[in-house]
Amino acid sequence: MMLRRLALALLLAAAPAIAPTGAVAEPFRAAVARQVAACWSIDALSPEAQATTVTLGVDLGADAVPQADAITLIASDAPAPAAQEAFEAARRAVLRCGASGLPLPPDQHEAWRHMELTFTAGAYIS
Amino acid sequence: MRRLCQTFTAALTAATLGLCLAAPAEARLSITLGTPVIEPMPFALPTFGDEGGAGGMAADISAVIISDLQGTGLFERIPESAYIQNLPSFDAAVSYPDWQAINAQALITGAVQAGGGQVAVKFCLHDVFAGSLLEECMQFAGDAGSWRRVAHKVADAVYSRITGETGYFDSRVVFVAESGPKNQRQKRLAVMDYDGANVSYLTDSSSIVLAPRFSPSGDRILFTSYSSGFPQIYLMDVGSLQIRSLGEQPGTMTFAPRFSPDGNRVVFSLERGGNTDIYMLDIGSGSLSQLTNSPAIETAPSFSPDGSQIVFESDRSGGQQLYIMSAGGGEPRRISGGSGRYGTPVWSPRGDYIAFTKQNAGQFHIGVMLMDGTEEKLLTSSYLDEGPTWAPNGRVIMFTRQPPGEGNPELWTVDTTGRVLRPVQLGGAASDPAWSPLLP
Repeated sequence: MMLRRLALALLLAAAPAIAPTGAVAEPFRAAVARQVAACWSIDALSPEAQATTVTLGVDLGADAVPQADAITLIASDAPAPAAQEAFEAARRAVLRCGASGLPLPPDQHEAWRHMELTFTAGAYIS
Repeated sequence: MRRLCQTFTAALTAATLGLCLAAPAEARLSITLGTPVIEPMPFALPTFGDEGGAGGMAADISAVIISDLQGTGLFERIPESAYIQNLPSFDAAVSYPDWQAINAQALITGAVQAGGGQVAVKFCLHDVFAGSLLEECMQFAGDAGSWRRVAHKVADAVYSRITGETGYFDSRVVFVAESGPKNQRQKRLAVMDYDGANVSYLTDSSSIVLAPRFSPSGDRILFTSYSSGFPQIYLMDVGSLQIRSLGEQPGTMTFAPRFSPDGNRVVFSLERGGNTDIYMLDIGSGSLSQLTNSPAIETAPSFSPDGSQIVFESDRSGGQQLYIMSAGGGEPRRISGGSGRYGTPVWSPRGDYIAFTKQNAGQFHIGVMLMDGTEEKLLTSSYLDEGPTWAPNGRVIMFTRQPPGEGNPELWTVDTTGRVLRPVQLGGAASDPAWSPLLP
């Protein structure tokens, strides 16, 4: 029984760090989505790239400004070149509208210093 | 005890895994975006520099590139007066923050050199917010007299790199140039750059000409002429302007010709004894085969890009509708189903859409639909829009717009979203456009 409690304690100790997303309140997340989406233009992309969903890994400094050299393509549902064009359009959006910092709580930098932004325009183009 | 140990081991494993996942570098805030904005991409293009002998040509080439990109409706140039950084030479270091400050997403820098009857343009495309080149700088060169083509090639390269699609700026359009009063119209074949520049005439106005079509390689043109007194299709060699008749059959009229994708065959309409059917002619052998056999009027055939199917218009069901059949003939299937009349179908070079003219409720439309007839989308609406032709990349359509009254017909373009609709800047009446492939 003691061993079982120990195991449970270990799991519980690890739990909060497994899902850090919840640490940032929904209003902040919605504000970030709104701010970045304001610069996300896909009109100039091919139909294939417009329909591509891409997920970007974005690192942010303490000032909540995305670091240009730390934006990576984590996942996409289409092969290159559509994925590359969709990634570049998404990266431009992050850098343009994040240039002055994203609206995130400064005292929670650890919770948002690494972000995954998923851009999916399927509903928009259908 | 063994069971407890197994539980503990499993828990430890899970905890260890959890701790690994919880390492700071792995913690990620996930956010999903689903609604992009509709806006052209702002770009900066400082007038290209003169690296010797270019003179005013550097500004002219810059203007053509800007016009090409802006004309798509997908890009918008930021005025030069807003630029912060002055780039004194092609090799000058780009200060990306200066271009970010004016919200330029792309920066195109370039220089022009001319001499010995040649012109060369080198250029670079920068991703301003990434602070890097989008790809290696490039150079195009050509005869000084073809400087507009060089400019179009630069614009095509920029367009292609950003959109991921081939461009369409370095292309030509053959059309019917019209002059004279409406009751005594003179019509002759002419070609122009896709943007209306560099018009030259291919025929005189001694006989009425209709419906020219480029071959897939752009070196020949099919058209219909009344030079014999009745409609007859002809083949013109673009280089020599030599003309010969095709598929001549005594007592028949032939019209609405179009090349097969391999350029070796022509599909067209032949009227015999008051009945019009679709025929195929092998240009090399002269062999003729009949593809449809119906008492209806069957015309305006157009091949699918792979050459396996033909879309055409027919009134076999009572009204004018669109049908698809095998390129070898056989029973066609109707694809248009909406109210109104459908005609002049043209298969997109991408193979996805079929463009058409639709007449309904007193208006004409240019529209597109998928090859099964679904997803019909009307892109234009006016007193008289007709005769669509696709740009080589299948993203833009050119057509004829005729205003009511005494106005002259004009050529217009519309993109496949229907949002970017504009007239071609051509200084005269024109109709029946047909787009060439991209020039080599």
